[in-house]
Amino acid sequence: MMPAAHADQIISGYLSRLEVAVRTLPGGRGAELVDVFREHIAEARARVVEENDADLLNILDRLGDPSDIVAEERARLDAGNPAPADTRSLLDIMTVVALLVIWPVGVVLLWMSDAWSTRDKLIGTLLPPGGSLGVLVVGALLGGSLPTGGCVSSASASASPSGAMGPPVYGTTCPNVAITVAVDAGHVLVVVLAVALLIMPLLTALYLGMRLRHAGSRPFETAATGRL
Amino acid sequence: MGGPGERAITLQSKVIGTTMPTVASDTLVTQMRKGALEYCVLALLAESRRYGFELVQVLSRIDGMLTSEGTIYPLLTRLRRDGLVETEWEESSGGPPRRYYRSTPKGRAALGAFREQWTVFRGAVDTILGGDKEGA
Repeated sequence: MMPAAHADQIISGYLSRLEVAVRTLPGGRGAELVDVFREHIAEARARVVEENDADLLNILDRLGDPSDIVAEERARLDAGNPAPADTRSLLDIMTVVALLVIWPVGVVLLWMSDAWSTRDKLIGTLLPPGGSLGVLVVGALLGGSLPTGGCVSSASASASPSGAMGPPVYGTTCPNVAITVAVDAGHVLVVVLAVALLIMPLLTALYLGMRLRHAGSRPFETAATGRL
Repeated sequence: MGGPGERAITLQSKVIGTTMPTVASDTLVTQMRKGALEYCVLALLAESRRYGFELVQVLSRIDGMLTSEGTIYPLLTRLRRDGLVETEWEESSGGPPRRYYRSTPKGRAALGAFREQWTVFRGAVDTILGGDKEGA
C-alpha cells in the first residue's frame, strides 16, 4: 500500500503531541499509551484502500486530541487515588520538625502516622539517639568520661534550644577547647563525634522527609505492579 | 462478534443512546457514560477477547458510548494495571501482531458487582421516571 503523501509528518506530529501529554501520567502508563495508539493507527491504516492525507487526518480526528484524552484520564486517576489530604501532609511535616526540636512529641507523631513504614519509624526513633535532646545526653556522657569533657558537654547543653546550631557555640562557652583539642587526639574524637551526632538528627529528618514523598506516590507504584 | 454480544449491545444502546436536550443533562450523561464505559468494556471483554481497534469499532457503533475513540486506551491501560483485564499478543494475518485484551476473574467479579448495582439503580430510577411519564 502506498502511504499518504505526508503520512510520516501527520502521524509523528500526532504521536509527539501524545508523548508530551502523557508525561503527566504516573508510572509506565505513558509509554504504554503511545504504543497502543500507534497500534490503533496501524490497524486503522490497514483498512484504508488508497490512503491519502485526509484519511489519516480522519483517523486521528476520531482518536481525539491527545491532551484532552490524557487530561481526562489524569482527572480520572486523581479521583480514584485522592491525593492524601493536605492536613495529613502538614502533620507529617510537623512530625519531622518535631523530631528535631521537641523529640518526644516527634516520636509520638511518627508512630501515629501511616506515612512511614515501621522500618522508617525505627530509624526515626533510634538512629539519632533521641533526636537533638538525645545528642545532648550522649554528648554529656561522652564528655564526662574524658578529663576536659565537661567543657564540651556544657557547650552542647548551651546549644540545646537551637538544636543543630551547636558547634559554633563551643568556642564562646569554652575558649580553651580549640587549643586543647588540637593537642589531644581524644578530644578531636569527642568533637567529631559531637558534630556527627548533631548532624545525624538533621540527616534523619531529611531521610524521613524523602521517604514521605515516596509514601505519597505509593498508590501508583502498587498499581504499576499489577500484572501484564 | 458473536450473536449474544450483538444483542447485549443493542440493549445497551437502547438504554444509553437517548439524547437529552439541556446542557445540564449533557454533563450528567457524560458523567454516566464515563462511569459506565469501563463496565461496558469489561462486559465486552468477558464475552470474548478483543484487540483495541476491534473494541473501538464495537463501541463506536453504539450511539453515545464513545465521544472520541482514543479515550478507550487509557481506560484499557487502567483496567490492565488494576488486574481487571489481561493482555496477550497474537500474530495477525498480514499485519503486525495484535494486543488482545480479555477479562480476568477479578474483572468478571467487578462486572458482576456493577451489574447488580446497576440493575437496582436503573429499577429505582425507572420506577420514578415511569410514574412521571404516565402522569404527563
